[in-house]
Amino acid sequence: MSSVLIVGQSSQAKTIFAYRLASRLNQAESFRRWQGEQAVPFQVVLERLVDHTAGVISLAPYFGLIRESRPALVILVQPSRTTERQGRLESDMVEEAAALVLCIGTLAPLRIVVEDQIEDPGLIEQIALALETLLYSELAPPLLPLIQRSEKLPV
Amino acid sequence: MKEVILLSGVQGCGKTALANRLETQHSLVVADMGTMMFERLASEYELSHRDQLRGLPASIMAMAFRLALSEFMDLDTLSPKVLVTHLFPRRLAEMYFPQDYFYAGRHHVAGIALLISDPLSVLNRRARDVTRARAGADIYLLAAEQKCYVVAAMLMATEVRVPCWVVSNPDGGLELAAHMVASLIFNQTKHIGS
Repeated sequence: MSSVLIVGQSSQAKTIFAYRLASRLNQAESFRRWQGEQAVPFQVVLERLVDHTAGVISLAPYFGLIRESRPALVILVQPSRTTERQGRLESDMVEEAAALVLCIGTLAPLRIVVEDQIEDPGLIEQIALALETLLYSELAPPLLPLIQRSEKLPV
Repeated sequence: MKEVILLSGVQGCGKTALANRLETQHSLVVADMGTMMFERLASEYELSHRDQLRGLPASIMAMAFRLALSEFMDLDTLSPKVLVTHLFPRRLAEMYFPQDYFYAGRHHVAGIALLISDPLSVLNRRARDVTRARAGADIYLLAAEQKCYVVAAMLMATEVRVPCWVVSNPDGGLELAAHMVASLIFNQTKHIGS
């Protein structure tokens, strides 16, 4: 099963966006049970990649586990430029850097979404289509031997 | 004790001031890579100022870096060692990938502390320091440069599986930042050598 990882600093935006995306993908049920009870094409998973404790920002202790899960797509939800986020600019920057590091390590594509856009149905549609393409490309290699085998079957 | 903690950050983020505090108030052994390289190369290449290192070929710089790092790692001491260094040898505007610097001796690094600061504060510090005045005053470039530092430090840390701490150094907050960095270093290195 592939996962779509939605990351960003704490705000309601990630959750809302995850619900919107999961609904579009008809995976609302899987989103609610994202810890993995159902076999569905995509899990929509919410995470924070960095910890911000007592003025020190560091990679989340489970960063290695997230990397090993090899998400199909990483979506970074960034705050709107107009949002007042005093003292959060640095942790937002580090979260973005952590998302880049994750994508470099897993070769997953990174999509950056701004908070203002999360209700945009056009964006949700665009990402859903991209995910379907990713799903197809992920299935392509295992399908290839099957096709070759079928070609060898006696007619 | 062979492991070292790297202390890094963009020019003007407060590395030197922090390093001085770590040395004087927290008894850490601190060395500045730029100074060590300058001392090593000054006579041979007739350099009178550290900034002139930038004019040397990258291969010479990388060799000097490795030698200086090796020397510092071999320094026998009971206190944790902190090496102040740039992850990128030249200004990022030149898009110079930090390959040689970045990877030299990375397996002897016990942790990376990265100092970041508000771009305006960095620019103010640079403006006060005449030797750094030529480092530029583009706030957007500086923000991008800081982000590249964070990415580079995290990449290195995840590759060698050591912690990467990003510490903010706001104006007037140096003492707190030094205290936090010292605590992290002592906590990380307490098992080393035991």
